[in-house]
Amino acid sequence: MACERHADDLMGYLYGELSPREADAFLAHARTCDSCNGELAQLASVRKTVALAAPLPDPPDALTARILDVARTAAASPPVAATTERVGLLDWLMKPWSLGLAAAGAGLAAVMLVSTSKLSMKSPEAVVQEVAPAAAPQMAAEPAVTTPRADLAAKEAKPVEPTAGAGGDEAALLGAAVAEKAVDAPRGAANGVALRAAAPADEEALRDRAPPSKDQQPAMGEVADKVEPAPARQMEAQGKREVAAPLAAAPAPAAEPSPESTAETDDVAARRVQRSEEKVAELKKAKAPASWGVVASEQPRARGPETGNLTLPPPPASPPAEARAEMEAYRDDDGREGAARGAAGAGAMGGGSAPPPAASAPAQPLRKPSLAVPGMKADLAESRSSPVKSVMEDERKRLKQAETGMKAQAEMTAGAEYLASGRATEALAAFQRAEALDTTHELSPNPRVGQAAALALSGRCEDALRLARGVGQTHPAFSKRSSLLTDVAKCFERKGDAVVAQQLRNEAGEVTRQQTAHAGEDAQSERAAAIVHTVKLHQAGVTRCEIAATQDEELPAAAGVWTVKVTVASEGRATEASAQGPREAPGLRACLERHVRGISYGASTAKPQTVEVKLPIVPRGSVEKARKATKK
Amino acid sequence: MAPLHELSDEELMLQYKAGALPAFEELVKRHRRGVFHFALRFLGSPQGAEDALQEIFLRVVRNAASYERKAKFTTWLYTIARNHCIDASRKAAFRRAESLDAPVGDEADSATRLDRTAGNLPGGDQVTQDVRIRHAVDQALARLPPEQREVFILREYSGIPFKEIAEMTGVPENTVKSRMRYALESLRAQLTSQGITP
Repeated sequence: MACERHADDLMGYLYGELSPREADAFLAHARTCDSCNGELAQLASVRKTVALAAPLPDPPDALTARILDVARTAAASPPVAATTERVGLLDWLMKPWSLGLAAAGAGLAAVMLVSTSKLSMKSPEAVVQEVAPAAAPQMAAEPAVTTPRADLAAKEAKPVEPTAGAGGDEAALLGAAVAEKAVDAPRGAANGVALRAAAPADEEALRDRAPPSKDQQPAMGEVADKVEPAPARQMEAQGKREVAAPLAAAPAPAAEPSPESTAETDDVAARRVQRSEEKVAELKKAKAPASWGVVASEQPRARGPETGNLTLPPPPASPPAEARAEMEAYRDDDGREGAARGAAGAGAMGGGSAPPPAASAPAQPLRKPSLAVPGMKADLAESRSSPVKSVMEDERKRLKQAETGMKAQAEMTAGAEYLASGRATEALAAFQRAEALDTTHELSPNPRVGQAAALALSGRCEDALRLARGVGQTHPAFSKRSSLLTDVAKCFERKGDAVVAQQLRNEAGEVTRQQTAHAGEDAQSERAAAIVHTVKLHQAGVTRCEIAATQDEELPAAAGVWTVKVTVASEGRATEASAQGPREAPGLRACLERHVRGISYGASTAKPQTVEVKLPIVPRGSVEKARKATKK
Repeated sequence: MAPLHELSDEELMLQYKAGALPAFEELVKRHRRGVFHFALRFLGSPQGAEDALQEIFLRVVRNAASYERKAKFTTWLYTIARNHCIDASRKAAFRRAESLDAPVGDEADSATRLDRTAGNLPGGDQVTQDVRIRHAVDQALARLPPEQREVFILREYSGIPFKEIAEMTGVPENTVKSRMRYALESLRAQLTSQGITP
C-alpha cells in the first residue's frame, strides 16, 4: 500500500496526469519509499497486462451509417424542435389526425393532475425524500459538465506536458526489480495508445487537456446547486406562456435540493396545485392534447449535460412562424407520420424515425409523455420507445433498399440481354441505371463491367479500356477482369489496332496468372487461420491436459507458452502433431499432441500444411486435491 | 477554414450546432469506437453496446442545441454515455441476458460468446493468449464493484482524466483516484488467481 499522503500522486503519475514538477516530486519520494515503489510497479504491471488483452470488436459500419442517417434527418429540422413545437400547438390541433390523440391526452392530463397534486401537497422535504432515490443517481451524474472558466483556462494555461516522458527516465533509477515495470508504466501513460487500444480516438482529448486550477473548478456541491434550479427557473419563466408548463414544473421542486425549494411552504405548493388546475382547465378548454405539452416539457428537465452546461437552455431558436412552417411540412406528408412525430415530441429521431401509429389506436405515441409523471425517470421512457422506432426505421430502410436492389438487379439482367442481342446503346443505358440504383454497392463492380463491355461492343474502345482499368484498380481480385480486358482487346482488334490489342491480351493473361496464384495463397492462409481458430475453440481439451499435468505435478513447473505444431491433411485430419514447452513435461506434451490430433479440422481444397499454435499453459486445479483423489 | 480533422471536438460540435452535418460525421468518426467500447465494457453485450452507441449519438443530436463550448465535448459525450449505460444496465437487470462469459458449448471450459465475437484480432498464436487475457480481464472487471468498474473503464479504456470522471460521477477527484487504485489492486488479485501474473 502506498503511503496515504502520496496515494493520489501515485495514480496521477501512473496515468500521466501530474505536471512535470509534481512528477519529479513524486519520483523523488518514490526513490526513498519502498511502499510507493512497490505499489507503483504492481499497478503498472496490471495496466500492462490489461493492455495485452485482445482488442474489442469495432462497431459495425452499418451502425455508424445509420447514426449519420438519423443525424441527416434531424438536420432537416432545427435541433431545438422541442421548443419550437410548443408554439405550433394550435396548428397541430387543426389536423384531423390529432383528434384521437387529443382525447387520449385529456385523459392522461387528468391522471397526471391527480399525481401532481398529490406530490405537490407534500412538504418539500417529503417530496425530496420520495423522489431522491430515483433521481439521485441521475442528478449526480448530470452536473459539472463544465467549469465556469474552463475556456479561459484552456486558452491561458499551457498544455500539460506528459508527465510520463520525464517520469519514464526517472523510473529507471528505481530499484532493479521495480524499475523494469515502472518504466513501462509511465511510458504507457505517455503513449496512451498502447495502453488504450480500445479508445485511440480519445487521445485527442488527452492532448489538448488543460486542467483548470482548483479554484476555477467549482466544488461538486456548488455545481449541483447551479444545475438543479435551472429547470425550475425555466419552468417559471415559461409557465405564463405555455399551456402545459405547470404540469412539467411540478416535479422540479421535488428533485431540487436548493435552499429556496427546501424552504417552500405547503401554501406555495397548494398555490402551485391551484395554478396547475387552472392551466389544465385552460388546456381542456382549448382541447389541447396534454401529451403535447408534457412531451415538450421534457426538454428542459435537469438531466445531465444533455440539457446544457449549467446554464439555462436557450430560448426557442425558431419563431412560431417556423414552427408553423414545420407543421405545414408535415401536413404535406402522411398524416400518421406527423402524428407520430408530434407525439414523440422533441423531434429527436427525425421525422422518418418515429413509428406511424395506428389511426384507431394512438396508444404508442402517448406512452412517452406518461413517463413524465413526477418521480419517474423520463429518460427511461425515451429509451423505452427508441427500440421500437429503431426497428421501424430499420425495417423501412431495409424494404426501401430491397426494392432499389431489385430494380438494380432487373436493370442488370436487361443490360445483359441487350448485350447478348448486340444492342450496345440500350445495354449501356441499362447498366448505367443499375449502377445508379445500386446504392449499397452490392452489385459492384458488375454494372461498371457491363458498361465497359457495352462500350467495347459499340466500338468505343478507349472508353471501355478506361472503365476496365478502373475496375482493375477498385476490384483487383474481380474474377472477370481478364475476360473484360479480352473483350476490350477484341474491340481494338476490330478497329485494326493490333498492337494495343496484343498488349491487352498479355495483360489479361498476367491478371489470370496473378489471380490464380493469389487464390492459392489466400486459400492456404485462410486454411492456416482456420486451423488455429479450431484449436483455440477446443480449449476444453487443453484445460483437461492442464488439469492432468497439475495432478501429475508437471505444472506449474512447465507452465508458459507451449508451441504445438499440427499438420493437417486436405480432408481435415491431423496427420502429425508435436508440442514443445518451456520445460520438459512428457505427460503434458503427450496430452496436448493427442488432443490436437483428435480434432477434426474439416475438409479443404488447400494443400496439407503444418501450422504452429501457441497455447498458454497454466496450472489448473489443486495439487493437494488431486493427490487425495488419487489416494482414494 | 481549417479542415475538419484539424478542428477540436468542441469546435466541431459548435459547427454541427450551427447546422454543419460533416462536423457531426467527424465527431462520430472520432468517438464511435471509444463510445462503443465503453458501452460494451459497461453492458457486456455487443447487441446492447450497438443499441447504446446509436442511442448515445441520437442524444447528442437531440441535445446539440443545448451544448455550449464551456463543456469539454468528451466529458459531455461520456456523461451521456454513462447515463444511458446506467439506464440500460438497470433495465437489463430485469431481463434475462446471455452472458458473454458463459461457455457456448456444454463443457464449462469451452470457448465463450465473447471469444467468438468477431473482431479485428491479430491472427495465429497471439490470439489465444490475448483472448485468454481479455477473458480474464473481463471476468475480473465484472466482479468489481460498479463504482470501481465505472471509473476503471472511463480512465483505462476511454482515456477520460480523473478530474473529468469526478465531474461526471459527482464525487471528488480523490475519491475517483481511490476507486481506481482499489480497482487496479482488485484486478491484480483476480488476474493472479486466474494464473495470469500481472
